[in-house]
Amino acid sequence: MLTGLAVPSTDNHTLSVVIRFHDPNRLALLEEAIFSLALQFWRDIELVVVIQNGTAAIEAQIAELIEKQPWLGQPMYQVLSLQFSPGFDGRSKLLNHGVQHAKGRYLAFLDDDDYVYQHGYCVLIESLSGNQQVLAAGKCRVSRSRKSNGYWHIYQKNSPFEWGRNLADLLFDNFIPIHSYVIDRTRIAPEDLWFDEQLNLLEDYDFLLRLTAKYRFDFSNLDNPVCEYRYHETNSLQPDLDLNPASTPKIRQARELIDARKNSLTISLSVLDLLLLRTELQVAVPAPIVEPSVDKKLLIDLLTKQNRSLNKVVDKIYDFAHQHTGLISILVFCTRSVRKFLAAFR
Amino acid sequence: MKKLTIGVITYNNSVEQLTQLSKSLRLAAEHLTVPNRLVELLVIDNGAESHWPEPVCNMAKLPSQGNIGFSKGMNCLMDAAFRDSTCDAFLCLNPDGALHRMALQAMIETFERESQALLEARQFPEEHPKPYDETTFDTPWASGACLLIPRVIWQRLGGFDSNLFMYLEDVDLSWRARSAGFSVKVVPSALFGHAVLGRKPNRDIAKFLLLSGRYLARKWQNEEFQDWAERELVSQGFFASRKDIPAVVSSSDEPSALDFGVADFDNLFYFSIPRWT
Repeated sequence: MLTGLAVPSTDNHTLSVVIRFHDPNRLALLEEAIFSLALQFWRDIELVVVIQNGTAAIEAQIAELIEKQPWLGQPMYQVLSLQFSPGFDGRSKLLNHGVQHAKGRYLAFLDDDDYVYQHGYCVLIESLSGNQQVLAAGKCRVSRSRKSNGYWHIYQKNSPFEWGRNLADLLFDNFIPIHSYVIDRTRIAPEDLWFDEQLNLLEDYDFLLRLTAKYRFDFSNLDNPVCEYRYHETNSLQPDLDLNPASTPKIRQARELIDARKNSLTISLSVLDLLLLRTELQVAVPAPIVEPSVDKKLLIDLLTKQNRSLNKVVDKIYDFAHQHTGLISILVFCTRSVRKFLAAFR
Repeated sequence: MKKLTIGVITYNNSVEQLTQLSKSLRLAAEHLTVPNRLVELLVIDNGAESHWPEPVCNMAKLPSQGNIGFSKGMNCLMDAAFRDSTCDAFLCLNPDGALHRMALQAMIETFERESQALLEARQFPEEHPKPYDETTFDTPWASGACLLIPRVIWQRLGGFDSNLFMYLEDVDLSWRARSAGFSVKVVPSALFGHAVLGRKPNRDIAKFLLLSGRYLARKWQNEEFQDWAERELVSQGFFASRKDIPAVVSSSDEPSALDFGVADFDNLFYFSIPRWT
């Protein structure tokens, strides 16, 4: 848990974008990420760049890159450094440090080699302003590129995360990359805004699991591409590979920690209600099964407090869908699983 | 001293858009290190009078002629620019975008190596999916959103086809350039920030696109595409029947000057096999 975080005022319309930066050799990629922020239709943006083992010289270079973008006004930014032992991957600590320093009501994260489409943050913040959800997510596309004659040549774009549509899917696995959402900090307890520093992989999914167990998310923009995950040869992780738990020992270990988190988390009743009885399951369960109050009561009874760990909830969802809808839900579930499996090898 | 003239047509653009564009132009001009190179900005207003927040690149304006469309507007700007004999290149630039600070440098450096080619900046973050060769950077056609036209190509081809009010004039110019033996290339290191995703559907745009597609098909002798465009114009409700669609104006280009083999109508408005859809 992070200490000293305050809840921003609702008069505050600033979006703080936390960018973690690990490698001084990626300044050109970082500049493109920052250029994408300077082009945003949402103009009130604060950049919080957190550098792993940054020096004064690198901080100055990054500050200069920020200043040289075509911002409409004076850019708001902080460039911070954190020092670690050689070889230590401080990705969660970098995020936490950025969150601690962010001044905006709205919060977003961006990796140094990705970018956000011009309308992205505007769409998500406007969506949040029309509801009471804490987080709005949009569609993330993945581009694949190779270095060719000194340039990154994009040879493919697709949307491998589009299998995920709702809360039930998010409990099953992550389909919301870290730069595809915006959080409204006025609707969230400061003690919930932290990344687990034990995790150097899937820390973003762990963060979302903890939030989704407690708060409601806005999934209404999942068909609207808001950002791009750039996969190229210097990426630490392929966007599809992390779906495969057996990929590497590091991924296996992270998966085990995620599984432990799912078993230890308790889901709030309000989220549970939403998860089982509203829009979320309508994909899998025909409306007549979802809507009648008798089913609502049945489900609440089924999910007694001791059964409310996330893993058990996911099992119950699919058990319930299986019992009530037979082949339809099984087909939907299997189709998703097959699509995820195929996406891992695409 | 050589001059690059940047031509911009405004059409009721917001002050925000023009502020960002002019700021990006100033930054790009400041980062230009190519020797003996001047950059100037030439503007024509197709809509209301535009108000630019800061003087940038010795900006000058041509008198407005009303909404004369993109092709005629750009041709006016090019005629004026190339009257100055020191102007060896013209950059068509959309007003609703912003250049990356290194974009002008990349465009001019490439132009000085490739003076016989139309040069297109890479739109950012969403670049056009049409393909380009990773070694030669040749591409089937170049978008007019940020397009460098060398004097030599303008002298030979005379600018855009003014029968096209808006849309696809860049495809036509590219095909005419290739027909005449010039190249068409992408400059991947020149970024032009331009929002192409997340736009609300606009019926006027859809109509102009189909009408331009129909004209292009007629000019480049693709009956199948022309037929498709006319059917779409009716089925989308722009015209009650095909008889109601205005007759296609004849092109002033000699068919003998057109290499019909360069025209690709097999992939709808991609006019090439896209890298992604």
